Amino acid sequence: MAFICDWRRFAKNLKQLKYMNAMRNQLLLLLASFAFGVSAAMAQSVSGKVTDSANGEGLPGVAVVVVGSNTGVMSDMDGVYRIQAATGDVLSFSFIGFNTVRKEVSGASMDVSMESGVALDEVVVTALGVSREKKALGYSVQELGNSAFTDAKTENVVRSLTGKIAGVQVTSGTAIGSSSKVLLRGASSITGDNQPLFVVDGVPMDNADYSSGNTQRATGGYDYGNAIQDLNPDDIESVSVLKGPAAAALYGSRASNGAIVVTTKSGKGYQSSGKRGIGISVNSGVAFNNVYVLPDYQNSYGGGAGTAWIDTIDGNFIPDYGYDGSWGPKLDGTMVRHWDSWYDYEGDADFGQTRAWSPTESDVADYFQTGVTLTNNVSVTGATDESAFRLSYTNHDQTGVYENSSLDRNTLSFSGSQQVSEDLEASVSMNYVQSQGNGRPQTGYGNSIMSQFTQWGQRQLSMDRLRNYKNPDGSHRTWNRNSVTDASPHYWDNPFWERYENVQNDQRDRVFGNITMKYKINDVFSLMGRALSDFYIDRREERVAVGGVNESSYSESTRQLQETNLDAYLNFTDDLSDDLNLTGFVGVNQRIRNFKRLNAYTLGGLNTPGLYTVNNGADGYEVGDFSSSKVVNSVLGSASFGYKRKFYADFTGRNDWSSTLPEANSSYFYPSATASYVLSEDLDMDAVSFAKVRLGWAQVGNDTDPYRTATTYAVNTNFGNGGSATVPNSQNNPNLRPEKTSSWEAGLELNLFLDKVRFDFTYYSSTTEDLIFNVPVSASSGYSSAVLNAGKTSNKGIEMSLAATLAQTDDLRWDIGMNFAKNRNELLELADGIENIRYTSLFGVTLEARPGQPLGTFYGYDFQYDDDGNKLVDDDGFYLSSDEVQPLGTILPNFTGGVYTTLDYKNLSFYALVDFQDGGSLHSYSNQWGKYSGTLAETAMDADGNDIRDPGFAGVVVEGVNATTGAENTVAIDPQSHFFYNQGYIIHAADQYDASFVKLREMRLDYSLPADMVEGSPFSNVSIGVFGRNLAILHKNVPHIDPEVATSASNIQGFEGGQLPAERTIGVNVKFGL
Amino acid sequence: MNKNIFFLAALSVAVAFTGCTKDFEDINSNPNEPASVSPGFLLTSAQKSIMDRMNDSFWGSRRGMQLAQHWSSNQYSNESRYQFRTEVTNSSWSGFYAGPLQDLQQIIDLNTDFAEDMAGFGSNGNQIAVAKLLQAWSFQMLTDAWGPIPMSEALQGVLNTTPNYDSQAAVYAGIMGLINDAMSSMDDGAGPQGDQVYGGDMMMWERFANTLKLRVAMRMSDVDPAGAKAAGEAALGGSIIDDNMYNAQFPYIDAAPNNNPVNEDYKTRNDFAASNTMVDWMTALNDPRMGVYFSPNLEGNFVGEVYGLDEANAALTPNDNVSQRGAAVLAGNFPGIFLDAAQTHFLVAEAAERGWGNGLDAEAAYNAAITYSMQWWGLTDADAINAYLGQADVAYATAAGDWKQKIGSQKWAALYMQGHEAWAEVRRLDAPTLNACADGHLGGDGSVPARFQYPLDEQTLNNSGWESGVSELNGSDALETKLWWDVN
Repeated sequence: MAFICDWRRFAKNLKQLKYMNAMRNQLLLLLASFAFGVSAAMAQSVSGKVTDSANGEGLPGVAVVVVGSNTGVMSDMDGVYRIQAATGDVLSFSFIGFNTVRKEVSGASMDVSMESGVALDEVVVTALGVSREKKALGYSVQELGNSAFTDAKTENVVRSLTGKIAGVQVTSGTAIGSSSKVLLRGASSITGDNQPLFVVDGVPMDNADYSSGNTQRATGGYDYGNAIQDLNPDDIESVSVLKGPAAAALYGSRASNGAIVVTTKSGKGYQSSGKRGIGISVNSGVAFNNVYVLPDYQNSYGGGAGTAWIDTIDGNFIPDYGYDGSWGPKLDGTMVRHWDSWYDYEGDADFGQTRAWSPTESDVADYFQTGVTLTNNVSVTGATDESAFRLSYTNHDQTGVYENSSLDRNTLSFSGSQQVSEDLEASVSMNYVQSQGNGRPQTGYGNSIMSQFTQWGQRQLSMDRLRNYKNPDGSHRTWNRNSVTDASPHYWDNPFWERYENVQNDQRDRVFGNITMKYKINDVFSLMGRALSDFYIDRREERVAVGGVNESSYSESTRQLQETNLDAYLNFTDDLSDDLNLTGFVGVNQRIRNFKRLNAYTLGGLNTPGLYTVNNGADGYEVGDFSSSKVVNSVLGSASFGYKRKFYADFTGRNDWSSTLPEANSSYFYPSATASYVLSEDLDMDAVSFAKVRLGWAQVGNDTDPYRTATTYAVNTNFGNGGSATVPNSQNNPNLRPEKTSSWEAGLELNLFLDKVRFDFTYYSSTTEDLIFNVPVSASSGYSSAVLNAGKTSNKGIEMSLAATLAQTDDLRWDIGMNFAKNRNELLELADGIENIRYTSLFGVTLEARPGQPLGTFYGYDFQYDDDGNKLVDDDGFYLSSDEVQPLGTILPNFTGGVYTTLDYKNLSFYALVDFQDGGSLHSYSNQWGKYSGTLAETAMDADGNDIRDPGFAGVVVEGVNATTGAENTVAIDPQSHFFYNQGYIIHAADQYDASFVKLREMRLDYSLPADMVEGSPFSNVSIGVFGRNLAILHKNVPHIDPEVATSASNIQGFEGGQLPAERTIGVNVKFGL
Repeated sequence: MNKNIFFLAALSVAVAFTGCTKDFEDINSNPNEPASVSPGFLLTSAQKSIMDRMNDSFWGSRRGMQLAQHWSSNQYSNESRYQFRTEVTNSSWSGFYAGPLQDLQQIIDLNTDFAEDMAGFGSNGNQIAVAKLLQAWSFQMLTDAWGPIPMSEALQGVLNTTPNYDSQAAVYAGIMGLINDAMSSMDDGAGPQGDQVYGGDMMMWERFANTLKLRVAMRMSDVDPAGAKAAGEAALGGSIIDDNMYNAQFPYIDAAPNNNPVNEDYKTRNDFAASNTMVDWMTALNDPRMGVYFSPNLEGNFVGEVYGLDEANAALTPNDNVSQRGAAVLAGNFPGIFLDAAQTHFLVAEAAERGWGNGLDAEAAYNAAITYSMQWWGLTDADAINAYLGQADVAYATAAGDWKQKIGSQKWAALYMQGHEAWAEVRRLDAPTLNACADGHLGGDGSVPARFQYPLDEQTLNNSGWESGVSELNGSDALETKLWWDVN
């Protein structure tokens, strides 16, 4: 279930708390029921036990009411009730967090099993880890339980958020260990990555990906993924998504895009559910990955620039090995010397042989293998009256769909708590994660393996033959040899050479955790002190072997990050009167972030082939180092008022002092205020079981990166013995001001028909001003960019979730629900002298922001149109390109969402999720160059099935009207010119695509062994599940590729080049609990 | 009471916190980059980055060298057919403005605003002089590529992020101003540190200044004959680069990253070959430089790749069949050339023909120019040089065409590896006649482009400036729009 809190977890962990809270609430319910009661007659004594369907345990405090009467009781500590009722009366069993059950009295004994469902005072985790009744919140929070992350595991937990929460947009890379970017309510800032802050047990987690600019704009490099993927799904207890600044005002600047608050499993839950001693659980899973989105290629023409053979040697035709395109001769079976017939080694059967020039029998799909992921998790939980702990070990062992690629991750986590005295509690949580990647595929235009298959490939190549990539003497065998006599690669390495010779590897060792002391001063005040730390060392090694197309090299980089947060809070909670309750805190926080990087790389190639050390550079090596520090001090406070359990108001305030801002502007204050009103308390409508309206307003200030205020020089490599330095291309700014986001939101929660229909709606609007950005400026100013308070942007949108229980019996429950979100983003104004803000550009297409346009708008040359919207064509039959660049669309979608269903029948549980995105724009270089180079299907056959390259074919007549005559275009042009002039290389708009999609994202079928089958075994519950992720693209508008394109988690999105094919995952999970 | 104590405690912690901000300035001072450097470091960087850009694969190889038709493309031939990549225009433009021009401006500013602090790195006047001369050289190259460019409002950082464009006449006046300022700024003090070109020898920079002035004056000689003559004669009255030992060259080192970019590019790609335009011209004249400029094909013959083939046809010409670039120009330590004796003597020859100064001998200067070129390329055999000069098609008296054609053709050949200067002089002297693109042109009107279109960046980042530039071009930001000095 997507947006409903996992109530089984709730029921276990917060039982004690609940019981106390519940009693008061239940009594109210009971009283409310009586108000409309009518006396009943002929009563008898009916008794029974009310149990939790999840675990069969008795439920205390359940309100049992004879419907239509003023008779009511509550179940006792064991869940047993006894009530006077007549046969034929209807008993209503209601309990917070559970779906109300109505049963007709049929005898003296009636046991009832209640199922968790939507509750009135659902408890969610909010900012700073404070558990709050959802009812009391004036802003939108949605929570997911553990199963959302473990039932269909992926290597990056962020992906599990896809489609499950309204307003959460997740964009993921396709390859092993690649990045996933999450956006809550769109992008507000131009700087940073606009991602929400991840907080794990109070620890703000670093989520950097250190991707290069080229990786971001899809032109090359490795996608190392963002660092939040270190989070182990098996250790997650719950995830709260706090959208918008109001929810996260207290985390400070970094949460101005919202916060994702993760609570990990601990022994506390086990302890508070009343268990003592040791419990063990085991989760194991296996999953298989396969590529499932490959371009649609043509198979009629082979490699070459033209249809003529480049040469004839000894009577044999010679194709053009050096040309990386497929405008070559027709694949008609002519016998030719293929690329692999020139390797004169002993025993090489292909040497000197001719083979047919025919469509390949082993195409691109054969390049990929089935990836296998094994995950195993063992956890031990224990509790005594005073202490509790949990120890967990997880191994994630994954091989990719690329040969010789793997991702291995080991996670060890421990948490423990000790009641030192009646007033003092100490707790600790430590996690160690080691992840190792090997043989990640290169990404992007020019480097990705797909570049040489789709963008610049020869269609007749056989993967089986390419797999023999190396000669006996170790030299390189590539299809793209320069010529008959020159075996060196012209533009491309053999794709398997890349897999086995140019291998990268990386490792990240990460430790994070916290130490917390809580001291209860009295009933009103308590103190909490915490030290929270996140530390990692990230090491990357990249290799280019001698003998490939690129200069051989070796590089390594080590990054070290430490962030420490020191907190102290004074918490208070007090009933100011019978009706008015106050809770809150004042606190201080200091955040210290230290980052260091050391990188080194060889110069001038490698001296000794195969030796990957920095010293092995033919021209020596270059070393770079970088370090940065940042400190933010904060004072913060919060006060929450509750009146009569139906009016709530929250106030927060925070002042930050950031080291990154000029001294005069380093201090900034930001407040928030939210209110909510539980309408249903005063509403007398049977259909409405719960109704609440929310209103919130908040500001969040934001600082910037270190070292952007003072002028410094960039130091170059020495020239000879002399130093060399240059004025940086970016001009720093001594007068920076903090960014400020102001936002408000209004919401409505409505549950109807005994919570069978559940609706949640939010409207929000936020404005960010004084955006800090390194703004590209005209280089004639002497700088290519300047750090400025550059402008003002706004986000407005709605989020909606709707769920309904369609059927509910003792054995069956069927739910269906949907999430929907729409965000409108606009750049409102820019600083004086700035005409636009550019993120990046590639082949003349820029991604930028201009006033009146959304952040992240593509600009490039468009077609020319007449007044009726027809494309204009010149006298030669070619499309006309616009005189100036035009907006071509924004990367931001119109709306996103997901539709899901859950069907539980006895021990079987089925789940399916379809998610969708409407709109959003992307620029596809796979399409652009695949047409240019003649590899894609449409370059050989038109929509009517004509072989457009056949000499007898008249040529391509493009749809449009002649620019001078206005008559329909009838001029035919040759296909190669058409795929050059009329496409994105010349008219950028031609390869700009709508990124809409509908995907069958996830399906699961879980089976829990019935209790009687497990009985006698050492396990208390056993379940097995089958799942699939990314099962199918049900709809898309961009040909050949997956419309979800991401090669980094940065703001620069929407450029697709050499996209690695999307992967489908199918797996099995087994869980054992002791 | 109890409550108040805790609030007070919290408040005092808060107050203590605010006190911590006094360390912030230390925390936020960049430990990775210096706040001040020797201006000599800036000079080295500026000299190197000018030449890096002149010799890079896009600005140098795909533009200068192709527009001069010294080289042809052997596969991706769009540039040779006048289809230029907008991205490359962007990076070349910013590569000069936000690179060396800004570094040189910084040297000037530091020596003006902090004269005393900078005096230890060479006299203030000499540092400023050298910086201005290199700016003048760069602005001329830029204005000859585009026409009107930002100059008077350029290089001011955030004070003006949208500089207006100056007309080319104004840019030329500005360049003359920079050269004159530089010359009057020179003094007897120490030359600048970090000078990789002349090692801080101000006598050499004086030659550079006069030679550059002569070159600038000559470029405007058809459109402002009187001004050009006055400036040219003034230049000729001083010392000039009249011997190869005075050449202004950037001394690349044979190891990355200080090697010539042509060498670096060639390590991984070989996209260019000798063009048939140049090979045919040199073959007809038995030019001894052929074997240095180019290497023979596999069969031992000098055959140029046909200039301006489309991709299919370019690919159909195997590399083995055509002459490749010579080993000398592919070497890591092949120097980057600012000014050399050969072009100086061609300028003198032309000055003689234009009647500048007294007693100049066009023929002698013409012969000297060719001789210095041969010698620079390592051809020191005087007999061979004389044999070449003695040919009827080479000898000044008998070679075909008027003086412009004679000087233009030979100068074009001598400017090998200075593609942009060769292209400028071909446009001005209209000689030699270059080939039309064999498979037709993709941009412009088919003639050798008269200029480049402005970078797309300027359209989007400096629209008002860009429009001022286009209006100076009479509204036509096109390849075929002739420049101010290109009147013939």
